[in-house]
Amino acid sequence: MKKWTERLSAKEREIQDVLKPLLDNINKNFQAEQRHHKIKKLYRTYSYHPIYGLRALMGIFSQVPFLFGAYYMLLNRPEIRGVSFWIFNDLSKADGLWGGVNALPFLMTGLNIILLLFTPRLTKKEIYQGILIALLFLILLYKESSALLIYWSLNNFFNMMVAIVAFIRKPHLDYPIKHINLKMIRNPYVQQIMLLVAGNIIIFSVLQKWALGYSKGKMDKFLGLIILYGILKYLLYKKQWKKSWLTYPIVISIFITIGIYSKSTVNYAVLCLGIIFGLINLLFYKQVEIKNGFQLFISKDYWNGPVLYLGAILLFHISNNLNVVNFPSIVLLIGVILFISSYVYWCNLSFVNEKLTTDEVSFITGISFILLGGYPIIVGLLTLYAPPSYIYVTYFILGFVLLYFSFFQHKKMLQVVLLISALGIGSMQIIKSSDDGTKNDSILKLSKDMEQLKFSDSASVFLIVFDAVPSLELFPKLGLDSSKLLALLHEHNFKIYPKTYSWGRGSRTSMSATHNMSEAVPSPIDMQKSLAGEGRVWKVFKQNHYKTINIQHVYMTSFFNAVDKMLPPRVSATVKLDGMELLLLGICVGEFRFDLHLPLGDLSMQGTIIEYLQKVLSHRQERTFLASHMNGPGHSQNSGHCMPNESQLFANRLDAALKYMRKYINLIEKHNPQAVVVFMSDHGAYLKGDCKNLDDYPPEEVTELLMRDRFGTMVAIRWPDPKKAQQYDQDLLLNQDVFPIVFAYLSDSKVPLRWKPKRVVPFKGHYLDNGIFK
Amino acid sequence: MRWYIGFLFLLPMPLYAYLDPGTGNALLYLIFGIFGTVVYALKGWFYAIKAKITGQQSNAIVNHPISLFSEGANYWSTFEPIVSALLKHKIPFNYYSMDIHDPALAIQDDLMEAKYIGQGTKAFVFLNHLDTKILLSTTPNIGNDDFALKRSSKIDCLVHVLHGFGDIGYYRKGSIDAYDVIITSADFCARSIMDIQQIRSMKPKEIMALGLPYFDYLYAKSKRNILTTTPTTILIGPSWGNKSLLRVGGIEFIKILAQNNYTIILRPHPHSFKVEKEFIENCIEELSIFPNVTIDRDRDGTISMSQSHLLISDNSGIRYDFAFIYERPVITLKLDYSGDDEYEFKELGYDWQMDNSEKIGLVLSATDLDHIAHHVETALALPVSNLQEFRDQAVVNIGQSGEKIAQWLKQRREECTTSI
Repeated sequence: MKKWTERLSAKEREIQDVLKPLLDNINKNFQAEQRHHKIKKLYRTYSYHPIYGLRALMGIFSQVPFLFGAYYMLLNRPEIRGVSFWIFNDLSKADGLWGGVNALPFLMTGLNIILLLFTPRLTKKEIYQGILIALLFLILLYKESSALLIYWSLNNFFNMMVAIVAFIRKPHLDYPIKHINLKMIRNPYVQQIMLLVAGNIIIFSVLQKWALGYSKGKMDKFLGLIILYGILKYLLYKKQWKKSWLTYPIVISIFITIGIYSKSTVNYAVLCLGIIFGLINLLFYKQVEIKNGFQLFISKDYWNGPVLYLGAILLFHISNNLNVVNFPSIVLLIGVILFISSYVYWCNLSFVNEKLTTDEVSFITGISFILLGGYPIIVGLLTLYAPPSYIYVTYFILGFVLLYFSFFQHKKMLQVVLLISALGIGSMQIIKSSDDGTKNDSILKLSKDMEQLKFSDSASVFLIVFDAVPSLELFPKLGLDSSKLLALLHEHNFKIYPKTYSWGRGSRTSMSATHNMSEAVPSPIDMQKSLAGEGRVWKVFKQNHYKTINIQHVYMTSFFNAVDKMLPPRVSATVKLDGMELLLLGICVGEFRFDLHLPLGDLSMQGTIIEYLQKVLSHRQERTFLASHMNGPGHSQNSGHCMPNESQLFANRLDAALKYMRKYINLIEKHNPQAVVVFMSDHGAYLKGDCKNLDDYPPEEVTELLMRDRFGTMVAIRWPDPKKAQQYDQDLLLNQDVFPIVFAYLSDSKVPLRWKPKRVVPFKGHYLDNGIFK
Repeated sequence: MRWYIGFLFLLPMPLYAYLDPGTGNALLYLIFGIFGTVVYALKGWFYAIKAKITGQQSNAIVNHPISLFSEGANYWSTFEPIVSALLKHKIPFNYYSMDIHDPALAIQDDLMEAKYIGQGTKAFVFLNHLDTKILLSTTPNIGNDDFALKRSSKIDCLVHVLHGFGDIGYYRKGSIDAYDVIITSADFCARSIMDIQQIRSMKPKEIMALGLPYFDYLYAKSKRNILTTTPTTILIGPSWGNKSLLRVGGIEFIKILAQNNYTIILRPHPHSFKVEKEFIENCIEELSIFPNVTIDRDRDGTISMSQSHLLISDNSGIRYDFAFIYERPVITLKLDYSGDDEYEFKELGYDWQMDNSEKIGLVLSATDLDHIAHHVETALALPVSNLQEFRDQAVVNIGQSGEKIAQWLKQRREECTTSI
C-alpha cells in the first residue's frame, strides 16, 4: 500500500515538475480564453487532468481513518478526566505548563516544522504551506486536551525521527534544512511578511476589542507588544523617521499602549481604531500610485481578494438557505464583508513594498482575516450591536463606495471627511457606551427590602434554561407532542406551571429580565450586566452568601463578569474561537444568520453544563446558585420563512435536549436532592407565522397563538418541600415571577412576592395581560 | 490563483482539527485540487458553449494523416530534425511519446498534436487502435506476432527510420518485417533489406535513402561544442552485456594506457548501470587509483567525444558517430558472435558494421590489447581524409535529412489523401 501510494506521489511530482515551467510560460504569455485553451492543450498533450493531482494524497489519506479513530478516542474521554501523567496534571485539559501558557501545542508545532526541514525534495511552496498548516494547528489545537496533544506530538516525533534517519542514510538528497540561513531574517521579503502579520494583528485586535468588548488578559499585553513592534519595525524599515506623518504612529502607539495597559475601558480602542484607519488610508495614499482607479477596480488584483471572501460566504449562505433566503440579511452580509475585507486588504498593502506581490498580500490578508478575528468581528458587530436593518445595509454600502472612490480617485478631501467620520463614529460609540453604563444603572439596583432579605433556608438553587421550549399547553397547537417532557417532569416531581410566558421574545431580553426580577431591561449593556451577575437575583443570592456560578455564552454577557465563577472563562482567545464556531455553524449547519447565539466550548453547551454540574455537586456542599443556558432545543431558523418541516425539526431537537434534561436532574437528585431546581425556557419555539420575530407581520394578523409562540415559556420547578412552596407559588405566570417566589420560599416570607414585575406584556398593539391575550 | 482559492477553503478550517498537521496539509491540497478541477471544468464548459454560440472552431483533438511515435527522450535526436522540418513547412501531424520527459511534448504549436500515451501496456493499447494513415517510428518489431505493439488496422503506411549507422544487420531477426517503408542513411543499407526480403519471400519494402536525422542532430550540436585538450585523451566507450569491450577485454588495457600518461575517459554504456551495475562499479573502483582516469556518467556523450582524440570500443554504434562527426580514429575490439543467431547479420552472412571497422581506424583482437599503447599511437597517425570519404558514402543529405523526410511524408500524405 505504502509503495503504491509512494509511486503515485512520485508520478504526480514528476509530472508537476515537467508541467510547471510550461504552465508558467502560458500564464505569462496568454490571457483569459486563450490561456485556457493553451492549458487545456497542454494537459491533453501530457494526458493529464487537474484532478489527478489528488493521487499524490493517497498515502496520507490512507491514514485518515486511524487519525479519526485516535481523535475521537481521546476527545472528551471520561477515563482521562482528572488523570495525571508525568508532568501533566489533568490529561483531559490543556497543559498550561508555562505559567498558564500551553507548552504541548508549541512542541507539536516545533516537531512538525522540524519534520518539514528533514523532508526531501520539497518545493519552496510546499515548505511554506507546511509551516502555515503547522501554525494553523497551533491555533486550532491550542486549547485541546493534553492527551490529544501528547498523541499528536508523539506522532510527529516518530515521523520526525524516521525522517532524520532517512536524512542520515541519504544525505545527498535535497533537504530544506540544508538551505537554512539565519540571515534569512534580514531578508526584506521575510521582514515584509512579519510586518504584514504585525499589521494585521494591530487592525484585528483593535477591531475585536471594539466589536466584542474588552478584556485585560495576557493575550492583550502580548498583542500590545506586537503592535508596538510592528509599528517600530515598520518605521525602521522604511527609514522615514523624518516624514511629517511620523506623528501618527507615535500617537497610535501611545494610545494603544495606554488603552491596553491602563485599567480603562474599550473606549481607547475605539479611538485608536479611527486613527489607525485614517492613518493607514493616508499611508496607502502616499505609497501606491494608481493612475486610473477604474482600471484597478476591474482588475483581478483588486477583486480577487476581498470579493472572494464575499463570494465564499455568500455561496455557502445561499446554498444552505435556498428556501428561506432573506434579502436584507444577504445585502447586509455583502455590505459588511466587502467593507471590512476591502479595507483590511488596502490596509495591508500599505505595509508592504514591491517585495510582496499583491497575490501574497491578499493571501496573508485572507488568513489573518479569518484567523485573527475578521469573522468574529463581523459576528460580534452583528450579534451584539447591529440588527439587520436597511439603515445598516445602506451605511455599509455607502461607506464602501465612498472609501473606494476616495482612495482610488485621489480625493484627499473625501478621505479626510471619512477619517473624521470614523473618529466621530468612534466618539459616539464612547458616549453611547458611557451612557448605557450609567443612565440605566438604577434598574439593576436592589431596593431596600431586597437588600434586607435574609434566607432562612440554605438550599442550593439551580436555574437551567432550555432555549425555546414553549409552554406545555401550546404543544398540540404547534403540532408537538409533550408526553415525553411531561413524563420526565412528573417522574422527578417537578411542578409544572401552566400558560407561563416571559417579558421578551429573545433570549437576552427574557433572561436578563428574569435575572433582574423586572420588566424588560432597556439597554443591551444592562441586559448583559444583568445576566453576568449584576442582576438583582444574583445580588440577593450573594448577600446571602451563596457561591455564584454562571454558565453562559459570550453573546449573553459579553465580557461582563460579576460572579464567583464564569464559564467558560471570558478571554479574547475564546471569543475568536467562538466566532469560528459560529461561522462553522453557519456554513455546515446552514444557519448563517445574524441572531445566532455564540456557542462556547461545545456547540450547544450541554457538555459544559454537565461537566460543571458534576464538579459543583461533587465538590461543593455550600450554598450555591448556578445559572446556565443551554442552546437546545433552540427556536426555528429565523429567516422570515417557515421551513416545510419546522415542527418536526423542533421535535427532533427537543428529543435531544430531553436527554440532557434527564442527565441534569439525575445528577442533582443524586448529589443534592434538597436543591431547588428550576427548568425554564427563555422564549417560544417560533414555529408559526413567519417563524421569526414577527417584526414584519401586520399587527392585525397577530393572533394569540402567534404571540404565545414567541413569548410563551415552559416553567417547571422541583421544590424540596412542595407544601412550603405552595404558600408562595400560586400565581406564578411569568418567568420573571420565578425568583421572587424562590426567594419567598428561601426566606419563608411573602415580602419577595412584591417584587414580581408587571404582568402585562405588550406586542404590536396586543397584550398578554395576566395570562389573557388582548 | 491558488492564493485566492485559499481564502475560500480556509473557512471550514476547524474541520482540520480532526487530523494531524501533515494530513491537514494534504487536505488543503485536496481542496485546492477539487476546486481547481471544478474551476477548470467550468471554464472548459463555458468556452465550449461560447464556441458553439459564436461558431468558433472546436478545440477538439485532430487525427492527422501523419503521426510520429517515439519511445522517449532518447530518440529525440532522431525526431527533432523531422519535427522541425514538418513545423517549418506547416505540415500538421500527431506526435505520440511514451516518455513524459520527451522534449517534443513541450513544443507549443497548433500544427503539432502531441500526446503522452503512458508506458507499457497502456501505451500499446493506445497505439494498437491508432487512427492515422502514416506512422513513422524508430521502434522495431511493431506489428510482429510476438510483440505487444500491433499495427493498427487504420495505418496505411508504417515507416521505420534507422537511428544508427549501418544496415539492418544488428536488428534482431524479423524486427522490421511488418514495415512498409524503411528510411535509411544511404543506399548501401538497401542491400541488407532486399536480401532479407528475398530470404523470407516478403512483399518488397519501399527503401528511401534520405539520410540519418540523429546524425544531423548530433553533428549540428557537436560542431557548436568542439573542445580541444592536451595531453592526448582516449575515450573508452564499451557497449553492455557479456559481449562487450570490458567483459571480453577486461580493464588491464585501460590501466596500461593510464600508466602511459594518457588521459582516459571511461564512458560505460548507460544501460550497464542498470543491468550490470556491480560489474561496472567494480571496474570503476579499480580504476579510481588513477588520477588521469575519469568516469563519464552523463546522458549526453558529446562532451566526452569532443574532448577525445581517439575512441576505443567494441561493436557499439558510438564508433561511427565519433569517427564521422569528429573525424578522429577508432580502435575496435573484434568480438566473436558465433552462436548469436538472433541478429539479422547471421541470416545475411555479412556484417557491415564490423566489415567496415577498418575504414574508421584499427580492428584489434583481445590479445592485441596487451600492446594497446603501441596501437593507440598507430591509430592516431592514420590520415583523416579516409574518414571523410567513407562518411560521404555512408550517409547522404547531411544536415538535410529532416527536410527530406518531411518532404517525403508530405508527398506520401497527399498520395494517401488522393487514394481516399
